[in-house]
Amino acid sequence: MQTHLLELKDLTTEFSTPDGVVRAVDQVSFYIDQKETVGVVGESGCGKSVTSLSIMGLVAHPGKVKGEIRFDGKDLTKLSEREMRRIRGNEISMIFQEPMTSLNPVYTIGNQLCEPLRLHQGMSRKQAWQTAVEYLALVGISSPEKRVAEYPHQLSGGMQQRAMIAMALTCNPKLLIADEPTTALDVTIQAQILELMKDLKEQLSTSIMMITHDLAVVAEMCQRVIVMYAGRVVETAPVRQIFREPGHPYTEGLIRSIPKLHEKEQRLYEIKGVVPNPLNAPKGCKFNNRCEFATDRCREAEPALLEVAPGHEVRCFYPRHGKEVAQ
Amino acid sequence: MSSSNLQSPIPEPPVMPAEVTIQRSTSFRDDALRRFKKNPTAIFGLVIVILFLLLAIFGRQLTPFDPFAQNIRNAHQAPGGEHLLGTDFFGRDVLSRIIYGARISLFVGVSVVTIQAAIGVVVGLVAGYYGGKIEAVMMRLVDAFIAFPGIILAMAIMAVRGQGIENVIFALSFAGWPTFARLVRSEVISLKEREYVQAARGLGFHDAKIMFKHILPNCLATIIVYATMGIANPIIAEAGLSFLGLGATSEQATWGFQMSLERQYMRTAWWGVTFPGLAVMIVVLGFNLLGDGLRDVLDPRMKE
Repeated sequence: MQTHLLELKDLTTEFSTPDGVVRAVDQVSFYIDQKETVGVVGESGCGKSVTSLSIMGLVAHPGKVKGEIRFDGKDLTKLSEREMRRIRGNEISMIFQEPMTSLNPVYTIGNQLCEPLRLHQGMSRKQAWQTAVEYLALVGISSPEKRVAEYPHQLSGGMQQRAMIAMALTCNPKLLIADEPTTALDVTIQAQILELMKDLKEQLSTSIMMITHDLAVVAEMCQRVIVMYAGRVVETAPVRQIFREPGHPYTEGLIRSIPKLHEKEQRLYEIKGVVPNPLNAPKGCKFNNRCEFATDRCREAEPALLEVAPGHEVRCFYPRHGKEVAQ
Repeated sequence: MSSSNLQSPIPEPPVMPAEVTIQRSTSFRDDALRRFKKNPTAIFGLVIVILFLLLAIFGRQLTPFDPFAQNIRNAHQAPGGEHLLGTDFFGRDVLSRIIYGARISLFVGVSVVTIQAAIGVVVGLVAGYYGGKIEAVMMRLVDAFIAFPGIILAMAIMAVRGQGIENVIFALSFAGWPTFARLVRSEVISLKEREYVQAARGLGFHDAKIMFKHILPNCLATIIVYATMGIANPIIAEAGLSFLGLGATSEQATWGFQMSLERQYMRTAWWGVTFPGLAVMIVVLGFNLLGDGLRDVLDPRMKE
């Protein structure tokens, strides 16, 4: 079996607050293969973003990261800050949600694109500028020679996000972490950006970890899906499988709450309640207070993540599809 | 809003804010310049500041008389005659001495603020960016400085180090940097949460680069505004110290020094004290108006 590009083993990220220790990410294990696009899905506050920050080694002060993050044969949690800096932006890079605030308003697009090139690739100013123009053209910005000298506020939101993608890709990273890259954009631009990312992924053979709460994006982009809830992985499956046979009631709820055009429903389905406060989570399965199918067993013990079909794992005593497994 | 919507059956075409941003090709600089030009008080302040800067630079060529030439027979001439602003106790031309003093007074103001800003910016950046224990230690030090009256601290330093303009600059810089540190720190704390700072970290830049290249330029506007307004403070403080005999020496003849010499003759020869005092007042006014105007133009929070 080939080795995975990225493999998380029991990744746990905790924040100590005055009210107690908050586990934002709880024993998360998954992997991403070369040239694979993996979606990480879940509601706000389920630990998606903290997972990505943990991988990047950017968890801020009161936070502690435990477990193992294997990337390209190295354990990222054991690297020094200096070694980590060489990986960030070079081998792993990140795209953020808000393109308007992710670009520094006081520098031109070109300036910002050149910086990682000069830092990681040791390019000269002129070379870097040339490359910046090439990458702007690559992400489909028209008249890149002109745009490269402009300031972020002179570009539209879609163009800013294209520039951000260009910036993340300039050093040909092996892994691109996209943290809700299309949430802040309007729908037509969203489709364009997703199409662009798909294209670039093929051209540059990069793996993508796509963090989103939008299952439509997942269906469009990803090969595999990881569903997170309250800091845990509750289900992981190939993308077709998860839409056809969702195992966890939470996943099923997420899929049911996508508006469908061909069905005449009076009211859109919603999962009742909100994500539990991590300081005050229910006992047993973390989803039991919102689950229609919860039994006393769910309120007593937490189910393990077990395989219900090849490549399909579910953390539930009573998976909705697939064979029931002895827990 | 709702009532007007009800009255018009045909909805107005939606405004497209995105389009506006694309078409707005003016840079921030042009924009700021245009707003500055529309601000008469700021222009007035700028004119005053430039006028005094010219006085400071070309002072020696502009003085009608030698500011140090004594002529006891000519002592305390009233203004209006040969000497436009009169003469002092030693018969020296008050106008010439004011023009000559402009150089030192402005030099004190600008250099003190520059030193204060340099120290304060570094302390504020480091404290704000790293937070935690580093910040706690640094900001308690700042608090201690601010809790102590600045002018008293400056007086104590002057008493130890003796008269002279270099010592005035040292004393006032030493006493004044903590306000800059506070200002910069508060700015950095909000800026470091911006996504472009996260993005810069995500691109693998080291802390110093993020601090000085990505955060500092974004708080420059605030620093410039505060520094411009702040130039007035050391000018006043220097005048105060010199007035108390703890500032400039007689060769340096700052405005405050002239006032302290002439104050005993205020009843008989009011001009000796009044005109240097007015000079201080006008310069301070000029810097304050300019600073106010710059804030309206540069500080994004003042925009509506």
